[in-house]
Amino acid sequence: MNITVKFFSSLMEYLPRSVEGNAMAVQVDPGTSPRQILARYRVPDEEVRTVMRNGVFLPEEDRDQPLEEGDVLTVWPSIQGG
Amino acid sequence: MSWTKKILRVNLTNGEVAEEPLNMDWAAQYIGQRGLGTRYLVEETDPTCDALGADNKLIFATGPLTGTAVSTGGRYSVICKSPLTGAVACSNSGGFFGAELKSAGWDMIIFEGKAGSPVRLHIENEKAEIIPADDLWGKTVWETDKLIHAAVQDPQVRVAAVGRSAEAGCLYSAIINDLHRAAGRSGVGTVMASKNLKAVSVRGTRGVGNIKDPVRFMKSVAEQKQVLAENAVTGQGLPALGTQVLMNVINEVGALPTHNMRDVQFEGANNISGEAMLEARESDGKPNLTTNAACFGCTIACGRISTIDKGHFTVENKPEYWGNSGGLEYEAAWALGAATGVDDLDTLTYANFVCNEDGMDPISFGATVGAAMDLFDLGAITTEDTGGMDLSFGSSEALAWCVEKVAAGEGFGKEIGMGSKKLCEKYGHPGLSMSVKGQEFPAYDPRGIQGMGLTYATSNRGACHLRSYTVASEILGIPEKTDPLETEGKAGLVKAFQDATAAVDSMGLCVFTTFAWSLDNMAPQMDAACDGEWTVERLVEAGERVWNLERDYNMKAGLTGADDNLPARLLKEAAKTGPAEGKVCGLDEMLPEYYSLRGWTPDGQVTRETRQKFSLPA
Ligand code: SF4
Repeated sequence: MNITVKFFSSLMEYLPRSVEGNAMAVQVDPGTSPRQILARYRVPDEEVRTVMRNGVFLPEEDRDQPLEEGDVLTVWPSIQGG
Repeated sequence: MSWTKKILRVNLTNGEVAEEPLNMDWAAQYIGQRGLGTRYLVEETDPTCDALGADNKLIFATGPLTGTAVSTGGRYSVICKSPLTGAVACSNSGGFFGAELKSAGWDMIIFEGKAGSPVRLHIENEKAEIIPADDLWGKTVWETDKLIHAAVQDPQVRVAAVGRSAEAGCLYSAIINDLHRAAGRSGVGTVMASKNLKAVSVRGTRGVGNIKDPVRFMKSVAEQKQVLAENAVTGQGLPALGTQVLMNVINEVGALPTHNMRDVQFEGANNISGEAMLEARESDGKPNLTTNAACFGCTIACGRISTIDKGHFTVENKPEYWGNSGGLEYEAAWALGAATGVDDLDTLTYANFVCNEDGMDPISFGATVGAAMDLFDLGAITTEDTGGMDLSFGSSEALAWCVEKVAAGEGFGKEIGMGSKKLCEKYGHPGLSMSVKGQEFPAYDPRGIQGMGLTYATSNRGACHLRSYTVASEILGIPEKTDPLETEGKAGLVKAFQDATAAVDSMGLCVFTTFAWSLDNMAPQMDAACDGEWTVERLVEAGERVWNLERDYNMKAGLTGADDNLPARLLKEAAKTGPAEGKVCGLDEMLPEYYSLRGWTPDGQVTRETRQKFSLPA
């Protein structure tokens, strides 16, 4: 299935060199989970703080649930506001 | 202690400058800065006065922790009645000015009356002098700063000044200190200019002593600095990308108000994000962001220092803009960018520089340009009105043109300078002003972050994110994650944030500490520094008292519960994309519960019981 993966801020360094900007379209096996995606790009657990699926916050305990066709997975290190 | 217990009273009408003792009973109830300054405003002015008349007062107030060793303790607030909203104005600024004022021995300056011709105030410790400033009138903030430094020959003097926009009557003019730190919102700069007061300069060498228990204080300060350093947000996130890391986050969650809130997501978000500020430009290979910077005593250092590409159309042949200056924070980047549809980082940075240079609030300015573009798109404003300028959404040229016109108070810039409410009324579409109580929204769409809808509607100074930043909970999960699309439970969340923030603003600390600190981390520092016993409970109670005092002032000024409202666009037009697609802001699901938690009547009036509970003045 096809999904979009976006890494922001300091996690951009885990994007493959060929990727321009923050987002990449990837093909993965049906049933792949967010945690598997993070492992695939070797993003260390401790650097991941906020994960969103289609813009909706994904709590730690839900990161093993399978993604679906067309999903957008977005990952940040620490974020803050003002 | 930690209060200097001294107020400087400056009568601009008759030129008298006098020292008087700080009312310590009030300090015990209202802490300092925001709370205490408002207490003086309530005591000394008629809430129905003309905000730009001689009867309004302008109060510069520090907090008890301002100028001490507590991290971020360099803040001051400016309090007065707002010409933009008709409600209480209280704008908080960092930099070094506040700490310098405290170090000169003053908790507060109260300006009253109006000078017959332009003046400035110069303070050197206990000496304060009103000096003619005809030569500074018509000058920008940056020129004024330079000229004052040349006159006093002391590089350590700190200057707070208004720019040309304020002189021309722009209703959202700011007071800028240290060149690019702003008491930004609600037109406090406009009030200063209306008094013919161009600048305040201060040099203080006394330091802030008077700590109640210095040993316990220094120990507590060191422990709490450690907490900031070890926290992912205050230790790494804010120094690295600043608040601008939020641009992509808020766009992803579908709460980035775009094109005057027609949309909740912006195609160009990534181009104006914190990430983009780090990318090397094609033209000169340099990134927009040069470095980060800190205010007095701050161990977080979220400030942005940026440059513009010398070849960019906005600064071609204008070397005064080629150097480093205060760069984009998230709020400014959003208002100048997403609200107007402009996604060119250099144009936004230029507009931000000019907002600092001539003292405008970039949030109200950018949002008003967004409203003007909306009106232009509908044909309600035409090139005939603007004198030829095409105000299409997304036009960098239009944004740069508008900022120059408002800064100088020329032509159509006068209209943009009135703020979106007056602009939209004048051109026949009052519903297009994205404001509450006449003050423009900041960078979070309440259709995608419901708690912010209640935050805006009930904010005592008109729409503002800093009165209760529920984004922390709804998006960032601090202190715990709540669902941004849910209205349930938000009334309590908003009230809790409002009260805690009022306490933080009254102590003299920066609200950004709250990503790592709660009042549990602040109370021990406050208690070790200040007279009396300061527990978390007492701080919360004081915060709630401040909130009610501000509310009470507004009601006396003629506002009612009906002013706790949002524009129809947010209540009736659903979000078109993203996680909030199909949603409007459910304000009416939150407001009644909020009033009842506050102990107010169903139409939002402060009850007699609540007044008694907090011993509010009659
Ligand atoms: S966190 Fe930022 S705004 Fe707050 S005091 Fe520090 S540098 Fe200034």
